[in-house]
Amino acid sequence: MFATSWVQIVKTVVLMSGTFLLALIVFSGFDWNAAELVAQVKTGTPLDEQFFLPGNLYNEPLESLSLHLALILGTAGLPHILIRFFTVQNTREVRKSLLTASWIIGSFYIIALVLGLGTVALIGYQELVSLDPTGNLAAPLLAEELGGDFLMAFIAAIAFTTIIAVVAGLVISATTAFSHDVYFHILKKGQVTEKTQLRAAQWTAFVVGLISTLFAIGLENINVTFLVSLTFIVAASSNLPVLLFTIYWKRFNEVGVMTGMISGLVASLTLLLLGPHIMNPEGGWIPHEPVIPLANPGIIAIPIGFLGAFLGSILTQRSAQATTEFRQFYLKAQTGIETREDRP
Amino acid sequence: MNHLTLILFERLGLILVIAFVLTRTRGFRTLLEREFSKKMTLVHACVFGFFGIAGTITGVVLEGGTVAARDFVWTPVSDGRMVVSSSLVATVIAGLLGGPLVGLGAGIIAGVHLFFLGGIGFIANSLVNPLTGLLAGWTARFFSNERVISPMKALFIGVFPPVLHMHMLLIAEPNSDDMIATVNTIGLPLVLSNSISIAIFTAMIGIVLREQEHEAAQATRRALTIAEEALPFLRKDSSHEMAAGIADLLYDRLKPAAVAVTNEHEVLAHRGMGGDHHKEGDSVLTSLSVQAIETRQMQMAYSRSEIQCRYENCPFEAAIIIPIMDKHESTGLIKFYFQKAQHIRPVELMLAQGLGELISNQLNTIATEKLKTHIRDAELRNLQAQINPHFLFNTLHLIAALFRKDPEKARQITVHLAHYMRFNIGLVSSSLVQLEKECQHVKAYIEIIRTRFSSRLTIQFSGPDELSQISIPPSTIQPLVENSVQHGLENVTDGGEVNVTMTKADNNILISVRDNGTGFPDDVLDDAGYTPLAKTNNGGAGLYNVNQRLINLLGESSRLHIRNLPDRGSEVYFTIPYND
Repeated sequence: MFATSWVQIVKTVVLMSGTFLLALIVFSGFDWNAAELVAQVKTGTPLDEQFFLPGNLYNEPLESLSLHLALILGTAGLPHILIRFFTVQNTREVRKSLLTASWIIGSFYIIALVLGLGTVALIGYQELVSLDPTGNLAAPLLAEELGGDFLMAFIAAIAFTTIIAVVAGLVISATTAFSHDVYFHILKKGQVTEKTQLRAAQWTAFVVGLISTLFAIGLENINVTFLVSLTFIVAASSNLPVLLFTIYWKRFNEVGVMTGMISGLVASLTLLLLGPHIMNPEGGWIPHEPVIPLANPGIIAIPIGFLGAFLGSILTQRSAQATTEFRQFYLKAQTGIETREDRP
Repeated sequence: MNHLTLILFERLGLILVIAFVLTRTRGFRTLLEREFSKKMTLVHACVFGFFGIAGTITGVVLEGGTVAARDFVWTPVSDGRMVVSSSLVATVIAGLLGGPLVGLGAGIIAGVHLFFLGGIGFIANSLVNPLTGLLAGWTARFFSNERVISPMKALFIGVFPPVLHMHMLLIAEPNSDDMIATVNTIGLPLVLSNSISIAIFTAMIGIVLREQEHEAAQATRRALTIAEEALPFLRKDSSHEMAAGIADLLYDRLKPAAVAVTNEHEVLAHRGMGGDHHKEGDSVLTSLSVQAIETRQMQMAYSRSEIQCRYENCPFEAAIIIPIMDKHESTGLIKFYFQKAQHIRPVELMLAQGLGELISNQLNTIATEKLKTHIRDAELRNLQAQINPHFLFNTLHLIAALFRKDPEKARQITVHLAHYMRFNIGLVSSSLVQLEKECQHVKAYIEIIRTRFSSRLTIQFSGPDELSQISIPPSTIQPLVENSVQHGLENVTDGGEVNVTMTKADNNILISVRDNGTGFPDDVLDDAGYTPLAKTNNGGAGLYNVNQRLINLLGESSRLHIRNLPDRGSEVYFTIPYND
């Protein structure tokens, strides 16, 4: 994971500084006057005043709530993010790094907001959509507008670095999940050498990369935000309930884990299948009216995940060992202190 | 754009050549030694700041997207023009090598210069320098722990300052198509030329540092080789031979004008020039030599007056004097003489000092080895004595003979024999025992001998009453008595006497063993105690063993003194110190 860490460090520095400077240029263009920026935005968009009022993407409050729920809860359940915690020395460092990361992410969201407003103000909605209907090219176009070829080249480089960093993180988590958990433990019962494991990991990386590339080509014309929110729903409904229960509920057991994850996964995938992204009378994969009209079924899928985990534990035996283990685990999770039995 | 790139590379090449020439000078190289002091930080910042200014001066002036003039930039530019400066190269290097403060300092100097030059975007031009210096310093610490960052990493870091520069230009003048065009023109050339120059400069500095390390490594290797080659000479017992060998070695390897090896009082060997008036046997008198012996530290003389040679035409003008130490006292000096003061370079000083320490350490180690060998010998001797067939047979014969004549005496002798042998077993392994115990040991031996040779000789033993606090190496007095009985009184049929006396003086005790036998043969007298004599019996080896152990444990002052008495017989005596 060493190389992955370095790529991500470089990406963070470059991304944050590049977008921050671009945001400064945007502000400078409006003489550091936010009100002027806002005024300009209103002229650049066909929505005029309506731009700053809620309801433009989704006019159903349920949709909006569902989306926000998925985004907030899903971040805590993404496996390829969680796996990065293993690179830190101890629990105290983990908390510190988590806090730092949250601040960085928060400031990045604000910067992205400024860049978006800048794009609408300086380039205009029409121009943007005509060049790229999905709106993915907002940042490069803004860079070109503000700084010509040089700036656009730099932003393109940043985008490329970000892609590589994210891909590296995803590939690492996919390959370790498969080669270590599935291949090593389940398929081969721990009977293979490290070299074979490594070979399995390499093949996994190749296959995962191939599948993702094929998917990406097929989904060329969809805005990337939608794909991201799908991921969040799955994470929020299958991973998050299990994590929360493990840390805070002492009655939780193995069966609960399995039922929780399976129910969450199945629920989210089914609801997505039956939703307007896939079942679309015009041009969707299943040309039919969507059964569930929610584009973001998070509000249904997430409770199903929690419920599944809950029922799975309640309806099966409790074991004494699980209770003592829970106490040790709870102490360690909250304070970082290991009991004597913990240490190998 | 190509044109501009080429020009920038040319100009930067000029600066790099000047920098390279500077790295060949002594003054600049000492600049690279990392001493953390406020003064050095300031000095470094100034040096790199000047390089930054040079980068600006060798820059170009842009007007409307094309190069306006090919001259150097000496004077402030008019408002319609822009200065394109390569000062970031120096600023980044300052940050990478010296840390955030040096980078900031250099950046401020270069920035102020750019501020006064003016022109389009002059605020951005000047601000970017201190900012870059600071950031480069922080980044370098984070990126690697090496002394000097590697050129590839420096290349990577060097790409970003020009990018920052471009951004700041755009922040300063937004909404200006001219500025966008300018950025497009100068952006890529600056990135390319600056980053590559930074990498090359870092590589140059890396070479200089590696050279310094090589030099240091060479000098160290030389010193270690010399110390190793000196070992066989250091093992020699005779100080003259040791001195001669060492002087030869040092003169041959280090090639000074001359080398002299001395003990605390006189010169033991001299090799090289000035042999006519610097001779063996000269006393060590000069104030620097005395100072070296007393302070136990290296002394340097840089003029004839300091050397204090009385001879008019003495060719030496400079000298290094190193004390050689045995445990904690100076046992001698090694002096290096040079014809001119400038022949003494830091390399020579370091070598001399290192050699002094190495040789002292080796002397210590050798002394310890020898002591161990002697102790082992004493153990062996005592083991032999325990089961020494002759002594045992004779004593048992004695006991057997006394059984009938004088059973009481026989019993006493048996007890004495047991006592003697028990002492041999028990105390062989300690290096020092109480004087009391040693006296008991000797007395047991003496009793047996007295009874055996009762007709032929008498043995007197006298000593002070207060014996408790004094320590002595075990089995030092008994061998002396044995020696007197076996050699001095070998051919004396009667009237032989052995006197063992112990007298207390102020802070030592004099122990003396006298006999009135034949005395030592003259040829043996000088060497006795210093070389083991032929071992047909234990005598010669015994004296040598005792002497070496006394010297090694209690110092030269406790050595054996051997002399033949004026009328007849011999005396062996030594002193041991004691504190009240």
